[in-house]
Amino acid sequence: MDKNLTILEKVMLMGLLPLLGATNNLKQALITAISAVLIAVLIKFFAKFISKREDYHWYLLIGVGITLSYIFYIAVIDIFPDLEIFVNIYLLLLGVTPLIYIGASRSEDKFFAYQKDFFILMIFVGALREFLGKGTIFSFEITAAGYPPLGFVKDFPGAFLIVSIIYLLVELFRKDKKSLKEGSEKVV
Amino acid sequence: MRKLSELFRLFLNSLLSENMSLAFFLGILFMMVESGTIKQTAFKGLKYVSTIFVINVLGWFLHTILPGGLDPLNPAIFFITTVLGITILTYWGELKGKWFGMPKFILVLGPLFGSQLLIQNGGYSYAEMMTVNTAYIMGGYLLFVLIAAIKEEIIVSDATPVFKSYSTLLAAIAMLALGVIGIQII
Repeated sequence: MDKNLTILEKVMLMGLLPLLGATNNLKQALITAISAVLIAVLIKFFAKFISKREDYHWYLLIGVGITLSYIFYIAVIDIFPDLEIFVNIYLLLLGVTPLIYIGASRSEDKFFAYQKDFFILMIFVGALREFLGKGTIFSFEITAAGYPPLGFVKDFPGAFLIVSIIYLLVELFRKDKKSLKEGSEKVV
Repeated sequence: MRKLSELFRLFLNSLLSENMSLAFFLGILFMMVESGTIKQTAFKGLKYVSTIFVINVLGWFLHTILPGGLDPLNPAIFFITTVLGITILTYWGELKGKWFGMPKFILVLGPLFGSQLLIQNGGYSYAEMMTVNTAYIMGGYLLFVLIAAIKEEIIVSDATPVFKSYSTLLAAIAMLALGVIGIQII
C-alpha cells in the first residue's frame, strides 16, 4: 500500500498522529500546524550541521525534535494562557511525528511541498470536524445552538472517518491513474 | 487505595474508550504500515506490546523517583526509555530498513513515547499504572491483529484499485471505533 503514493497521501500517513488527534477544533489545529511547520524547518536546518553518521544522526535529530516540541508546548501555554484548553498532548507529540523529520531524509527533496500540504490539511480537517461536530467555526455558532450536524465527528471515530474520506477523495482525483492501478496491483 | 471494582472500571476504560491506539491514535501508523499476514502480525505484535509494557513500567518508575521539581525532565527520561525500546525491537529483528527515506524505527516513536506520556498525565499509583498498562497492550495487540486481518481482506478483495488503499483501512478503523463507543454506552 506504500507504493506510488502522492505527496498528499504521504503527508496524511507521516502526519497521521496530529491529523487525527489535534484537529477536533480549528484553533487547536492551527496552533499545532504552525508549530509543526516551524519545528520541521528547524530540524531541516539542524540536520545540515550534524554528523553524517546515519546511526547517531537520527537519534540526535529525534532528541532535538522532542526538545523543540516541549519548548513549543511550554511557550504556547506561557504566552497564551487563555489558549491552554486548546493545547493538548499532540503538541508535545509533534516530536515523534515522522513528518517533521522529512527535511532530514536524503531521498525526499520536496520539503516545502510536504509542509504546505500538511498545513492546508490540518486547517481543512480542523474546520470540517469543528463545523460538523460542534456546529461552530473558531467557537462561533454557525448552526442552531445545540444542533451540530454530526456530533460524533468531534470524537475519535469521526477523526478516522474524516481522514479516510479525504484520503479516498485524494485517491479518486489523483492525476496519474495509471500508476495507481499498477501500484494497487502490487500491494503488499 | 482504589477498590477492585474501580480498578476493573479503569481497566475497561483503558481497553475500550481510552485505548491508547483508538482514542489517542498512538501506534495506528505503525500498525497500518507494519501489519502483514495475520500469523506474522500476531508474532510481531507480541514483540511490540511486550516492549511497550516494559518501557511504560520503566518510564513510570523513573519519573516517580524523580523529585517533583524536576518534572520538566520527564520528556528526556521518556526519550531515553524510548531509545531503549527501539533497541529491544531492533535486537528482535524488527524495524529494519527505511520508510520514505527515514529509518523504520521512526514509526514506533509515537506509541513508545506517547504511552509513557499518557501514563504520566494520569498520575497513577503502581496498581493503577499496571492496570492501565495491561489494558493498553491488550487493546493494542487486538487492534494490531484486527488491522492485519482487515488489510489482508482489502488486498485479496475484488474491489477497484482506488479502494485498495489506506482510506478503506482508516474507514474500517472508524467503524471499529464507533463499535467501541457503542460497547461503552451499553
